[in-house]
Formats: sequence, structure tokens, C-alpha cells
Amino acid sequence: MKIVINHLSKMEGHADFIGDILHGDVAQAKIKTTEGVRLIESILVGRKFYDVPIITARICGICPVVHSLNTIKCLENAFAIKPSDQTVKLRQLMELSQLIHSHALHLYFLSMPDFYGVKDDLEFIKKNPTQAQSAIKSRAFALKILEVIGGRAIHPIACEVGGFKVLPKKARLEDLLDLWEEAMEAALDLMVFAVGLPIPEFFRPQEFACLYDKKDYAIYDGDIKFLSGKIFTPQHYGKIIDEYQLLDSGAKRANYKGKSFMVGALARLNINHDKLSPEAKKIVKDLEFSFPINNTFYNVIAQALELVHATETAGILLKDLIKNIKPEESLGKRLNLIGNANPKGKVTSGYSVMEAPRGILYDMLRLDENGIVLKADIITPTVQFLNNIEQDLLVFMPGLEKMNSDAREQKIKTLIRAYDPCISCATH
Amino acid sequence: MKKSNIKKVNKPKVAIVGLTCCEGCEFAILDLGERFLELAKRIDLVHWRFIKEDPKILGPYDICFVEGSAVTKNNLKTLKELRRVSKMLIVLGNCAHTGGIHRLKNWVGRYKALGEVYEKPEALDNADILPIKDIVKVDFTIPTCPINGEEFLNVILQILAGKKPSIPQNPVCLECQINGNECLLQKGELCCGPITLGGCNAICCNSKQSCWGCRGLLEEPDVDKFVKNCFLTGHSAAEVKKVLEVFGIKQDWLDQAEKEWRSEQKLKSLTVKKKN
Repeated sequence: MKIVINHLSKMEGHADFIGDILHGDVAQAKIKTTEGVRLIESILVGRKFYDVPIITARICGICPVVHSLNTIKCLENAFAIKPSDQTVKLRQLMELSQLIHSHALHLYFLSMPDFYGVKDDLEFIKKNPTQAQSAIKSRAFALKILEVIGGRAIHPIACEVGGFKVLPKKARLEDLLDLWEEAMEAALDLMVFAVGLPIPEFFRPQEFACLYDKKDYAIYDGDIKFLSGKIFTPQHYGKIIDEYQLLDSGAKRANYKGKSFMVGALARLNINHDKLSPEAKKIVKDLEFSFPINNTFYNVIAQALELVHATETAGILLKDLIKNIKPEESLGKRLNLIGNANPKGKVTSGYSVMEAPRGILYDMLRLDENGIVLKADIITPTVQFLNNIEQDLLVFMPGLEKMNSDAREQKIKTLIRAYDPCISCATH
Repeated sequence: MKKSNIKKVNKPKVAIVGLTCCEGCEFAILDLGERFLELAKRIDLVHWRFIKEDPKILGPYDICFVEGSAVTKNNLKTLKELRRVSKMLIVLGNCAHTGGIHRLKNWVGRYKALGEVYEKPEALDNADILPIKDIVKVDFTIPTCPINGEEFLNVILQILAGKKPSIPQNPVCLECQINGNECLLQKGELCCGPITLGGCNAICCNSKQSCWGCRGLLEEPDVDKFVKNCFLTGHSAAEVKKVLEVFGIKQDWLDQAEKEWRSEQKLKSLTVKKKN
């Protein structure tokens, strides 16, 4: 039985699904990306380092913050410079906001309607208006933070190598705190809604990977930990991941030790759940999860938990910054970096990883003594989990054989979209 | 824009379609939040794959917003189909407007760029990047990378009110000065504010990032003066070109420069003739 879904909707970027069930066995389950390749890595080559974060932000309209910040962190790694604690805090707040607005969008508008078989968000909003308000409030809080700190929510402007071109005013940070309580309520509301979702039964033991730090629920910095135990530094991550090209898709694929693996909210929850914020930890306890969770539909629950975690943590950081923010010149300015050469005076390479809403983002940049890019390598989260979706579908699809085609397609889409794939990122 | 395209329609059928791109302009619309939901009541949003499961292009549409670039053959087919079924086609954002970041590839060279990223570049469907207006007729352009949600709302509200949308021909410098920003050009930075269409509230300059022209060139930019200024502040021609490449305005700038240069030549030849 051939199953073809052309133009998967409600996800970023363009892809088709092609599947085949033969007497209860799945003969094929393939996500064919149809997005054009933009060759971002190649257009960075030959350009000055300060162009890089401006261009990489444009890889994705939903997670530009993480693309931009990760290349900035990568350049700082290449130049061996360390930004101030204040800079790091502001960036962490941006990262949390990135997670909040992306998750709230994906949860309410792109994924949750699937579980109820609703195909039009405007219908879903009519049926669940309070949760729509919660999603909008949650997003408004995060977008406002990005506007105040980054200068703009989509494709932020104020961040640069070494720090910030301009710092947010204290009064504007205080205004943000006014929105925080409402955002916290909204996050908890969406959490309750997520717990009530009719989540399909599904079980497939698999590998998970995410950033790891001994103390924190790492999203801004850390090593990479696999659930099976191994820990790698950012520099090694690019080497242990086997990234390869498929001949019929622009998006590459990646495996770890020859097998697919999962990155993203569920991977982070499975590996770092003991480091969640107090409120999120309480919910985990109430829900009596046993880790690891091997049902990838639970990625949606994990995102809702992260929404609570990120909103709570953002409030703490905001309060800290309001109390302690002080005027300081960006390290980039102090070192007179902009317009200048590589401060190391020779060819150097930088490596950096960060958690995008969808999982690990890896960047490598090699620069010459003049600060001109010689080589760039970007591995996006969706590239890392595309194989895993297909592996899940091979196990999930036989149970769908007896359904009518509409219901079957809906189930397949629900699983694919629960991953929150971004084909724009994957194809960069 | 043809006048016939802008008659007042009660609830116009609207489609929003992204070709190859980051989809940031579409998110800028979603980011309007509550105000987007209000707008959605005043239009018949028949096609938008972010909120609806209706992937086929059927039409007819009163207004069709197109974001991104035609990179693949499929993109090209979709774009032509959209033009065929839409009364009014509006491009959204810098990529659709000028080719944007994607067009950088053209300057690198398509095959070289493909080879840098892929082991088997020949397997990929990948065309040179053109602004949408060079492929199909465009009725209006909402510029910027990414679009400003407010401007999008203004344009669509103007259309709903039966008016012809327009953007005043002012440079970015106007708003930048009103905002009281320190002039980055005078500080010696390479800023395209003087030759770039304003209306963005000088959002980048507000954050001390010089303007790289993502709203496209003014209708009659003083390219000559701009270049002289750049040279005076110590920037090389190569540097200027590198910056103009980022948001796809280098070609327009070269065309304009050539025009100015030619008219100067022409003027000279005329003067010479007169003397004779």
C-alpha cells in the first residue's frame, strides 16, 4: 500500500512523505525534502568574520537567535576571547526566549491540533480560545525580550563578537518583568493542555543526545552527552557525527555509530531532567515519568515542560540583570576587533554547540590571519533527527494499515510534526 | 501597479506562500499575535501552510503574498502558477525583492558554491537566483529582511480600504536622524543609509549596526556621492561591493552606477560636440 503525502504542511520548509506498507511490514518510510539549497556555508567563505552571524541568522526565521549566537560563540572560540559574564547572561536570556517563542508556536499552532485531528488552526483557536491566548502571551513575552536585548525578534541586530553593540536600558528590562507573571501562567496553562493530549501509544528504544553541563540545564554552552553514556567536546562532535548527502534531497542526514538518534526537547528532558527549574521539576514529579521516555510523541510534552522551565529561568535572569546590569563596552570594541584581523594572527578554527529549540546546533569556522572565513561547517538539529523520524515510522506504520487513508495520513503527520522539523534549517 | 488590480473587495481571498527561504517574513506575520487574529477575520485566508492543511495551489486569489526565492524547478513552477491564479501578487521580504542573501551564491558562482557544500553537487536542482520581479510581474513589494509586521499590516489595510499601497521615497538616514542616532557614516563605518529606501525606522542603526540596504535602493540613489563618501572614509571598492552583495543590491547598484557614469560620458561628448 503506497502512501504519498505531497507538501507536508504546518512545518518550516518543504518536504514530501513517501511510504509503503506491505502485508503488515513497512517497506518504505521516507521524508523527501524538496527545499532548494541556499548554500549558506559556501557564501560565508571569503567574507570577513563579522558578516557571519548576520548571514547565519538568515538560515531560519524561527530560530535565528541560536544560529546567530552560535556562530558568534564559534568566532570567539576561534579568536580565544571570553566575553563578560553580563554578556553571557544577556545571551542566555535571548536563548531562553528563543526556546519559549519557538516552542509556544510549535505546540499550539503546528502540533497540538494534530492530536485532535484538526486541520485548520483558525478552527482550533475557536475551540480552544484560552490556550490560544496563552500561546500568544507566552510568545509576546519572549519576542519582547528579544526586541529589547537583540534589537529585533527575527534576525537580531545588537549581538556581536565579544558582546553587544548596544545594551538594553534598565527601565526596558523592568517593563519585561511586568509581562513575566502572565507568561508564567500562560506556560503552565499550555503545560496542562499538553498533558491532556491524546498521545498515541508508541515505544521504540533509541539513542538521544543533547548539550550537557554538570550544574545547568544546558542550552547555551556545554559538552554533548549521549544517553548511552559517551560525552564529547564541541570540537569532537563534528567528527563523531557521520553527516552525508542523499542524492534526491538537499537536506543532508546524520548518524551516530551508524544509527539514527534523536535530538531536541525530548532528548534534553531524558538526559537533563534533574536540572530543570523548580516548577518544571515539580510537574515531572507529579506526572511520575520513568526516564528515558521512548515515545517520541512525548516531544510535545517535553516542549511544554521546557516552556515552563525557560519562562521560570528567564524571570530569574531578568531580575538578576535588572539589579546588576552596568554599562560596559563590548569586548569586540575594546579589542578593536571589528574591521580588524584575527587577533591570533594566524589561521585558527572555532567550534561551538548550542541547543536550538529543535536540538543540537553545531558550527565550525576556520579563519585566516585576516579574519576571513576559509571554511564553514554547520550541522543543524533537523539533519540529525531526520533518520530517526524514518526509523520511528518503520515501527509505527504497520499499526495504521487498517485505518482509512485520511486517518492514517493524519497519524503519520502527527508523528513527523511532533519532532518539530525545520526543513529550512536542514537544507540551509 | 495596474489600477484594475486594486478595486475594493469585501473579504478578499488571500494566500501566503513561501518559496525557498528562512520563512522569517511569514513568522513576522504570525508574531503580530492578537492583531493577526483580528486581521484574519477581515480576510478570507484560503491558503497558508503554517496554519492550514491545504498544500495545493488552486486559486483564484485576490491577493497572493510570496516570500523567498525560486531555487528549484518546482519553486519556479509554483511561482508561475501563483501569478496565473492571483489578481495581485505582492512579494514579501528581501529575498523575493532582490534575491537577498540567496543571491550571494551567484557572485560566488553556482558550481563552486555547490561543490563547497556537497560531495555530489550534480545531484542538486539549483538555479541562479533572480529577484521575483525578473521572473513574473510583481504588483507591490514589501521589503526588508525580515519584513516589518507593522508595514505588512499597513499595506494590507490600505488594500482593504481600496487604496493603492505606497512607501515614501525617503532614505534610511531620515528616520535615523529623527531617532537621534549617532551617524555611523561620519564615524567612518560603511553605511548604506543614504542610498537605501527608508520606512524601517532605521532599526539596525538604532542598534549601532550600519545599514546594508536590505530594503533595496531608493528610486534615484546618489550612487556617485555614496561611493565617494566610502572612499573618503577609507573603504575600498571591494569592501563596498562585499557589503552591497549581502542583501542583493549589488547588481542594482552597478546598473545605477553605470547609468550615472554613462550619462556623464554622454554629457561630456555632447559638450565636446558643441565646442566643435
